[in-house]
Amino acid sequence: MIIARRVPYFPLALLASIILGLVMGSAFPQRTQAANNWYLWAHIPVGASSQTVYMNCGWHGRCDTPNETAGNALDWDETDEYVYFAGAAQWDNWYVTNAAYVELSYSPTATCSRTRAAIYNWYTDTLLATEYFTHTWQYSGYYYIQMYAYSTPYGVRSGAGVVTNPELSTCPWTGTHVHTDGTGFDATNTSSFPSWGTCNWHHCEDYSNGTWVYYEDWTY
Amino acid sequence: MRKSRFRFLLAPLVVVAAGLVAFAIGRYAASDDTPAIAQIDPSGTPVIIERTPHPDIAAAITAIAEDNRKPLFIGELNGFTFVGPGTPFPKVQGGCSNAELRELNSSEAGAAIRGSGLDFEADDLPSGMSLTEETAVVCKDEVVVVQRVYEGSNDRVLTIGRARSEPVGLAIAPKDRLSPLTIRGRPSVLVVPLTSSGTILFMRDDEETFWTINAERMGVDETRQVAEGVE
Repeated sequence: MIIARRVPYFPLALLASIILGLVMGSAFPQRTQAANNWYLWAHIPVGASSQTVYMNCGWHGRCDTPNETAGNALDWDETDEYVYFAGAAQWDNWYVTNAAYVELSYSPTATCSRTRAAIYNWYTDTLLATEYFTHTWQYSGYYYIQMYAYSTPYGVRSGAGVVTNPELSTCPWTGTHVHTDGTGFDATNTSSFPSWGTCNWHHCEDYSNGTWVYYEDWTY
Repeated sequence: MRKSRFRFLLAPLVVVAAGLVAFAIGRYAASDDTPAIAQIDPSGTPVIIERTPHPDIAAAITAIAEDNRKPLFIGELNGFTFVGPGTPFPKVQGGCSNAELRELNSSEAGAAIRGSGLDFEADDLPSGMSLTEETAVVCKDEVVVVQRVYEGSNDRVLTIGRARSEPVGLAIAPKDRLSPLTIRGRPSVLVVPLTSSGTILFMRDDEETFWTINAERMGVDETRQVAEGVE
């Protein structure tokens, strides 16, 4: 006696469809990343976390009096020879991920030694902003730092070089300090920066108030 | 009969719909943006998900890591001396110390530069670059350094400076990235860049002046062309 069994076409077809869908979907993953807003801070006092670094000249081009208010540079004293790049990034998502690549290089002028921190979009290699540390030397020629972003500002602090002492003979230099300035940042707070005498790293390293430091935001 | 027709229509629709849902799930699961459930830290510590950089950044990271394994060159090359930190530099012509030098800002510097023997012409700048800043440094009222900054499109910043000083600078690169050259009879050292962020060139001339050309976001050929054009 032959028993005819019905083939379960529907469950088999359903299973095959699901498997095929999963395989095809994973073969063509979603690559179009939704645009996110990215926010980036930099240009804050350049000391170690245990170090108190006082701002000793307000916003200036050339520092003639300590409480200058016009210009795009600030001067910081250093209690040791090390200079730090410090900054933070934020984005609109729940996890921490790469935001920017910071390339540090020794970039002297004809007058003074100088280190340059060029900040690039991690995904497109577009130059976002540049920060300069004058009177600083980069001990490895080039160095790089990664900036990560989180839903709240995610900070980074890493060695950017050492204070050059003695300076190049062509540098009009008085007192050991680091002169920082930046380009490519949209927002600066040159008018309402706190009193130059009270701004040490504790006061200035407040990412929640982007107006205290050089600040920029992008959508990518 | 009615039930059979219903099944005949519904079954393929269910199969197709299941396939489409599975496709969407598969696509999302394999995407870069997918939260990795296994990586969520129950303590609340932010989860770090590393993402691939732009290929040029990946190449730069590799090149920098390799370059960092070599010591910076300290010594003499083509008449230029590269020193380590802490080494005193020979004083500028006129004998001023750093504290005795005085910097003139852009508004004062122009006239001082033109009246000095250090003034220069830059005849072969890349198109679109324009002068944005002039600086002069004086020692006992004599100009000992002149410097001009030019800016152009694509974030290019070109700084050309000329100083009455010995050709001595801080160590800047390993020996294999220092290329001795002669540019229009002027002994030079080109600092071969690792990345596209810029090129640096030092040059000296028979007037005993020391040139520094720092070309941000400019390549070797463009920088050499600038050096050829300055006099």
